[in-house]
Amino acid sequence: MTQHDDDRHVVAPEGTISMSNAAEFREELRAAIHDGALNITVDLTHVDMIDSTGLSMFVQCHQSLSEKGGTLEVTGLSDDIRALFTLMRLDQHLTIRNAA
Amino acid sequence: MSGHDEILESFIAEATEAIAGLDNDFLSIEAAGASGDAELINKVFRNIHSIKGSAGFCGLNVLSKLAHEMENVLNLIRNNELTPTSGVIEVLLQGLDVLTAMIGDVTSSETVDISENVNALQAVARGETTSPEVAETLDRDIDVELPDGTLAYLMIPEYDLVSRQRAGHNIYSLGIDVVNDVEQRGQSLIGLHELMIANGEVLNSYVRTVGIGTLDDPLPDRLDLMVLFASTLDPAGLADALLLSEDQVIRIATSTQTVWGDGAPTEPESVDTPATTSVDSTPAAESAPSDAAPSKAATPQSAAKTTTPPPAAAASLRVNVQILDQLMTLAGELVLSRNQLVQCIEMNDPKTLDSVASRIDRVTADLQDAIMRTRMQPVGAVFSKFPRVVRDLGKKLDKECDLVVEGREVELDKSIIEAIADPLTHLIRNSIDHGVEQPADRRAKGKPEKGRVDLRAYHEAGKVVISIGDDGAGIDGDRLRRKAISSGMMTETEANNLDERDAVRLILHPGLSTAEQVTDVSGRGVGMDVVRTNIEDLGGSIDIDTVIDQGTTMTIRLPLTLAIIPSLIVRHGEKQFAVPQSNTAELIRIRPSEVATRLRSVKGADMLRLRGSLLPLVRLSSILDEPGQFVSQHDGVRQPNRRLTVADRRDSTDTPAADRRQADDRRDDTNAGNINIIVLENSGLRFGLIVDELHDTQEIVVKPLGSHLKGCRHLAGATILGNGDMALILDIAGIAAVANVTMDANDPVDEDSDSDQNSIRESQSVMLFSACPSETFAIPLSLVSRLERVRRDDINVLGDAAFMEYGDETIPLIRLDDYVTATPTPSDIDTLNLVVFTVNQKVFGLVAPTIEDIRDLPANIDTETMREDGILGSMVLDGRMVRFVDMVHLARCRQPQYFEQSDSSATGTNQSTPATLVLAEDSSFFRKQVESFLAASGYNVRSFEDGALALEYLNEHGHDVDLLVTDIEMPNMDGLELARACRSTPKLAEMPIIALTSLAEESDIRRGYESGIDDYQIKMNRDALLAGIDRLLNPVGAAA
Repeated sequence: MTQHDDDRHVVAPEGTISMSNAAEFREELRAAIHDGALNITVDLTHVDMIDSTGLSMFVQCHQSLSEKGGTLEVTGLSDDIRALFTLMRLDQHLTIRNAA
Repeated sequence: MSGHDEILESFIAEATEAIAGLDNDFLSIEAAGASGDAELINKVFRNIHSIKGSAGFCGLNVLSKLAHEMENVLNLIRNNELTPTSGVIEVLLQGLDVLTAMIGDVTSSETVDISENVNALQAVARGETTSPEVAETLDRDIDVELPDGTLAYLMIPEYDLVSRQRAGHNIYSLGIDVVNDVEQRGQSLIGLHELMIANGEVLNSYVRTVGIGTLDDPLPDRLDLMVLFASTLDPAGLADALLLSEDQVIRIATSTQTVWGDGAPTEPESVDTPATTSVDSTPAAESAPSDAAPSKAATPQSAAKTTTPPPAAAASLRVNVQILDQLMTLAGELVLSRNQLVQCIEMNDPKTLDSVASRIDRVTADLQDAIMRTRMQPVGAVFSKFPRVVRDLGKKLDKECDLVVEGREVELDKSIIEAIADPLTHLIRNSIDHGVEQPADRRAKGKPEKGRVDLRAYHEAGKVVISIGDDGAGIDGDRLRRKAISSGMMTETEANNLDERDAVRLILHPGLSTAEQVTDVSGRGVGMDVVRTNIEDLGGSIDIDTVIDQGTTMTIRLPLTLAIIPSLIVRHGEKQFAVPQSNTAELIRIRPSEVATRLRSVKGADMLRLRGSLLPLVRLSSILDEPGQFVSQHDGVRQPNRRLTVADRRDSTDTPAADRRQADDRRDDTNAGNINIIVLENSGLRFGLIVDELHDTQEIVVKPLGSHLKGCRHLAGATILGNGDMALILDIAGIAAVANVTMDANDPVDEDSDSDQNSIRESQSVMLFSACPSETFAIPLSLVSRLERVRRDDINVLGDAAFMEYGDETIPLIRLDDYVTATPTPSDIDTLNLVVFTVNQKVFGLVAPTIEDIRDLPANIDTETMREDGILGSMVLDGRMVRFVDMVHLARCRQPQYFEQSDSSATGTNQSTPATLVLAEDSSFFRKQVESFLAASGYNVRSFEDGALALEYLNEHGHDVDLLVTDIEMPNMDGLELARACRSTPKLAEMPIIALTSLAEESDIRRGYESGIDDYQIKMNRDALLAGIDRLLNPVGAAA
């Protein structure tokens, strides 16, 4: 689920990121930042749905990283999720890459 | 003053005509570029020039000034001093928009500030084609304020706002807390996004990140999304559509919008548009367009103007002078005819009345035709705005797209033309937005980068067809299936059972396009249900043809006019109904002899066999919930028809109904004449409507229904017929909905496989014989013991009865013509065939002059047409009518004394309470036969058409049932399953079960016994079955 790709810390959650299961993913991100990861890539290839909790978490993660001068990158978005990121204009804050 | 008004009015009419189509002309000029079409440029120049002149004459100086500046630019183009580049044409188009708006509202045109247009035009005229002003108008970014003064959206391209308003959109700011307003209410953000796409356009959006904090903060309990949104809906409608509350929808008005009101199709590019647009402080609810709050640019005069009704030009209609002349002539004719009529009545001269009547008839028809023609307008009036739509939308979406228009000259009723504009715009926008792919994608797919949208109008089968085709991505049926499943519209199985065509048609489904919009590559659910409703309201229909990656064509079929429609008059009971001819595909009359072969029941629904496919049938009586009538062929008397189904004429016994037809009614059915079926088509749906009588076609004038009948979905209106009677107009789509017809016209049930199964399952070996070539009879082979050839001399005749020595006994002979309608055996035949059979342990001989064949026949026997005692039914075989002989009945008639004992024993069995039998048998023919002879033997019979239904009944009423008689091969649940199910149910475990079969194989019988079946009987052997039932109900041990 977690691997290092060059200097980026890659997190690849699966299924749904929502209220009910966000805590685990959130802890993973926190732990990664705590361990000194500056640049995090979240691979959403295996994520089919994100709700508001999930989106808030991306904003929080982005802000946590920016404070430290890091970046958050998102890859592998499905059409639906990409539409959400665009609607929320998260694409202006995070880097969205096409393929992982 | 009135004189001035008249001049103004004529100016408006003239100018409106002069500018109509100019935007397309500009586009053509742009397309032609430097090699310009001089004729066209001249025409445009002249039109603008004449507007300039008359506007000046009317004192409309601002209008005149703008026209003058445009004329200058056009003059340069005309003289080849200026190339009509895209930039030049853009400026001219903007000028034209303002000009159009001013002509639409001349009285306030003097207050319009045209300086920006004038500057731009002058700049163009000076050759500054990329003038900063022009660029600025298009590219300037502005900030948008909310009513409370907060800056909500920064750096929004002004072009985005202005172009939407020009296209008649309202601009909204939506404030949505995703957590509490969306997800807490059971919606999803994706769903909301799809609703947005369906109902308008997201111009800008962002999420408020302030307060969300970092990962070290707790998760926020709200997530605020701000959306700058353009939509044609009013605030309340938009709130509804997006499932939001009205206070979340805030309308933003810009100054340009207020000057011209929302109704104006175009708006001027006002020079002093403030860098910050003013806002409308009225959120939601106050939805009327004229409620827009005053803005900086709006003077008191122009604000007042926003409440004036639409421009006068819309209320008037230009009529071809030729048609007017014709109307005058016809009016003269009518006067002459009236004079003749009056004279004819005064003279009391009936002889001339006929000729007067026919003359009035002709004049009226011509008059009607001419008047209708005044309402007919070329669809080009609507089409002409689409090149602009395509150009603007293509620019915005970075897609290049050609619009190919054909059939501008096709004429449609004015009201239809007006009503079709919005749906067509919607479809065209969809084609470009969702159909045509981005140039890069197109390149990847090997298509030309430039997309193509075809807009065609043509006549077909008395209707006008408008098709909108694109060469885009096509619609993905699978995606729609998934949407349908996720929105709960249908189950996964249902969705997967849809064929591709039906799946694609899902986008027309309201459930889908409002609750779960289809978006992205393939999706076009964008308000498509509204498009469909609009078109169907016009009496039209819409079809979709799509091929993935090749494109989509939407085909709209429209009636020429709405007011007068040719209709087929049908009668049902005492009432007459009109069926719009446009829905009528064909008329079918089923003769009684065809009933068995052409009508059938599939899964409980009546079907008509029509050219190899099955057509669902709907009875008008079931829609109206009142029985129809039929005319007896014998006496011509109309009688109530209580028949409930067509193919299956047996009462379904699971529904208690006192008014079900009695045995007598069956006889009536037999005599009933033909079955009249109208094959109807609507929106790709095809079904047959069964009516009592078909009358002629008439042109009927549609009158709306009273409000108390509004709830009747199957009625579209009413009309007065030629004879003064009233007829209700049937609404075909409504009937299909009420009857729940779901079969698609292009998706006929694969009938062949079905019937093959049936015939294999229920084939019956019969022996065919005839007395003369025209009469063929059939008897079940299973009843035949031997076939003997006998000499006529060997037959002994005692009185009327014939006997013969057979072995060591004398057997009674049966001559068919003694008992049923048949030709007597020709007397010149010396050698006869004798069918020897046994009924009730007694041997009989049936005289069969010529044995023809032994055949396996399917069991779909018509039990109505040829019904008489001694004949079970009939069917048409190789073009001949074959009658099935009821051998048992004949034997009974021949030797009644043989049967007294067995009858009394059966009755004796049931003297206290009659035993109740459950019969499960899918073939209606066999079911009916078995049911009738069981009932005749004194049993109560409940019959069901498959095992599942029988089991359902048994589970409820098992304690009242004494014995089960079941067919083996049945749909849903076969006899073996049924038997096993009974055996595993405690209260049914002891119930005797008899299996009926047409052909009992050893292995079948063994399997049957293993399943718990107690006895096997051959279907047509009535006495054996009765004996078997008796044996099981009265076991020897119990009786003793």
